[in-house]
Amino acid sequence: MKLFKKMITRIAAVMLASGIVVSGTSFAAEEKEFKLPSGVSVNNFVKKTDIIANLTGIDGSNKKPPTSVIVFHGDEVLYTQYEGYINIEDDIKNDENAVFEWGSISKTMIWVSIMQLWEQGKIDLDADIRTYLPDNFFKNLKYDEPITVTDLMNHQGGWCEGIYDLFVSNEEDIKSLEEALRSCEPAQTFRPGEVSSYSNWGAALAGLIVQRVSGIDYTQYVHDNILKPLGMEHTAVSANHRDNMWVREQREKLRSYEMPMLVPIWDSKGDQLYYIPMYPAGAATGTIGDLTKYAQALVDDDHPLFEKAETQEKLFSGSAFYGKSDIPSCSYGFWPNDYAVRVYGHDGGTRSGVANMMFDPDSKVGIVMLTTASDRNVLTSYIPEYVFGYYSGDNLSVTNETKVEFKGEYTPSRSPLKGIACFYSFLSSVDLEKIDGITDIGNDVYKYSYIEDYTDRVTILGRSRYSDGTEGIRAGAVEYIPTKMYVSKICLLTAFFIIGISAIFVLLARRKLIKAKIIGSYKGNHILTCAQVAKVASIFAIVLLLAFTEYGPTKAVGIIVGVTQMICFALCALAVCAGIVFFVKRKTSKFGKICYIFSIAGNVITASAILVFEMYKFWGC
Amino acid sequence: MKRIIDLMRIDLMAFKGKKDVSFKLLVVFIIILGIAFIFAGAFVSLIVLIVSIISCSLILNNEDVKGYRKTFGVVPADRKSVVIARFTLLTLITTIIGITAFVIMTLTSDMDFYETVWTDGAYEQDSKLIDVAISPFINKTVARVIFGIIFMLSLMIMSSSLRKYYKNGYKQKKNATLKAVLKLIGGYIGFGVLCSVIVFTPLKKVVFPIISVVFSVLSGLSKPFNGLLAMLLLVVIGYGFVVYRAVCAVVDYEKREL
Repeated sequence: MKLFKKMITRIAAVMLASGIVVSGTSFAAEEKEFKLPSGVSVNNFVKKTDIIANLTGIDGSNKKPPTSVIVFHGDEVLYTQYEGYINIEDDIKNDENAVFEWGSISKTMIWVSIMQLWEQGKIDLDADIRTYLPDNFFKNLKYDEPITVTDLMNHQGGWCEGIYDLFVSNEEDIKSLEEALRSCEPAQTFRPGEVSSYSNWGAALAGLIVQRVSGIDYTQYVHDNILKPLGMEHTAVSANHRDNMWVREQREKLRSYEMPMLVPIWDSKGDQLYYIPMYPAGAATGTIGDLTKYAQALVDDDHPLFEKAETQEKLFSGSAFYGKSDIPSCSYGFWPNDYAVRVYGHDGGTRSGVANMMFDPDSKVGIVMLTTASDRNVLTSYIPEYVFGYYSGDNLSVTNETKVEFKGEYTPSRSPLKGIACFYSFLSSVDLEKIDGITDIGNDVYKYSYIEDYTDRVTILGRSRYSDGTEGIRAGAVEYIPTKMYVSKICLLTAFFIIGISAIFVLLARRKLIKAKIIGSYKGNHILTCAQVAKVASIFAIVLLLAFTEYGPTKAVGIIVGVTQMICFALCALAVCAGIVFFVKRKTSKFGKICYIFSIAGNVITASAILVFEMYKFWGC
Repeated sequence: MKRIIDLMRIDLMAFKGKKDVSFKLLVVFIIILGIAFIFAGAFVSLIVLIVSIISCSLILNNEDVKGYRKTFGVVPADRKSVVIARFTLLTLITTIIGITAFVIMTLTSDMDFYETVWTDGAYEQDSKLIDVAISPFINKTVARVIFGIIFMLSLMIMSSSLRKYYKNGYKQKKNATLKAVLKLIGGYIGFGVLCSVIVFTPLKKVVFPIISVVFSVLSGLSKPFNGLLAMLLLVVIGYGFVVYRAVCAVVDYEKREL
């Protein structure tokens, strides 16, 4: 049903989108009406978007979760939509006073702050960030090369995903920003400036730099230099939103909703009021009106956030590029996106909901969207295309287009490449060999042509050349890097799962035989049995790690899993020794000897997997 | 060991002796194979399930209904050996059929047989809709994972039937077919009720993530070697289940009073 609903919505959305593109040309001769970058007249856009908004509510209920959308052109708001209820249970409708969590859009405030301090000459974008941090701040750096402020803005500090509590439920667990950062420093797996690997930790670290350079608390800095100048009175930026009590009160009314698999009914997820200790990276919360003011300021020629117009221009001039081209993959922390025009912005997601902010600095058209419905991505996916149009790739200067042949597996750079969850990076590896439609158009730029929703689409990718001689692919915030020793490691992982599952059957059979008094309990066999139990526990720990950590493994789960794996490793090592002793000294049948060999091999494989995949390393690095 | 092999031979003789039945089985096998060829690779694996279930019921039927049990009166055999022999034979049959089906599936997939059948004439070569519709069947990886699941299920069903037989014996019941149909309907209803309980209660918060993990691990392991590793994992689960059921059957059969 959900699939059906989704299909209907998507097909309708695509049909309407096609209609918009077509009608965009047919309206060309109409009266002088402002047209969006997609070529669509505003009136036409409004009609179509209203239909889509209603379509997304096919759930048999009149009460839908909230979605707010604003489309603007410079200072002028072209379209406003407050749909649904922010609290269905208490009958509270969505309106201009509803506050939503902006998620990672908060990061753009860090980047704006950095650019403000840069134009004041307080920060050097090319300086090593250690200049601005306390001595010996880092404990897990692998490379000696400096990490620049620009590297942080480009998410190229080299950090992979780590184990940390991105969200906490108790306000008491919110530490100072510096403490929060120190307590969960991830592993540095890439050379600084080489690989784009989206990092919440790196962004929050930039927030700490703002705090240290400006000499005032980050929250206060943002209030003084971004919120107040723009008149954003309904926004909070601190971890617990208590820097703006009105926002805090409004936030407490907000509920989140999801549509579970197979059930076309909105299910309340409660208030989902969690706190982000590394708050600069994702805690901003406010009304859509305030988010609109912020986005409008970023396209305003009067550059209200900066002293000089050049600073704002620099912000959207690109700081990392695809291959050797001038096509930006990142622009000082803002993500460029190619539609019919190039737009900049950031999206965000928290346990509460999703948010999106996009704008075209040239046409001054932008869009902001906020929702707490986990299934409302249709809005955030399709509406930008109605506003900005499709990217056809026509503007690309192609000298010689050749098909790119990839070999082997690639891992997304934003994977847990170290620590207890690093095995997952092997499970999530991508076989690019199977992806058709990627062509090299020169300058180390790839054009990826594909069909989605019956529409031809083009996405730009970049070839990345690494210092170890390997090559990867850059796709915005993430790079796909060659997976080293993929085949041997995935085979080891499979063997680990096979042995763990086999241990369940061995234990069940053994229990049955002992109960029937067919076999007795030999001296020393307890070690082998304990190792079997440990192997089963190891598998269950892995399931726990993957199943109940939707927003990344938390520290508590990490510790449980890590300690389990340590015990499993120790028992397997003991069982290997015991198995060898029994094999040599005990007088058993051939079958018994074979059983001992299998037991030794199984324990060796399990222990090796725990070591190789660092399943014990709950501290992350 | 020799005794177990002898006992397996007896079972095979009993199997061979009923030419009418094995001939029918062969015909069914060929028909299914033919249908499977027309449709898609993954369907070939259904043969394993069908043959495994048919062989199991035939052997048990021969022993109890056709009187082959009497053979064990003249062959010196302990209960343990009888059970092990029976489990080994049926596992071997399932494995051989499984390997055959796998080879057929791999060869036809390599020859792009299904793509030719599906896209020839009636359908446009570049029809995206058809591509999407048939991709699970012509996709080697998906076909292998489906094969693994069906092979695992075959071993599980076969070993469970055998274990049940050795625990309770063969009982001819009145209205056996009706009861079987009712059981099937009851099973469907029970499954529906169970699904509803999971979906409409907080249980879903536990069950759905676990299902999602199982899928994500299977999908991760199915990437290399076109699904071979995921298939191996499933097959091992099947064999592990057979070993456990065999142990249970030995214990139960030893306890049972004939």
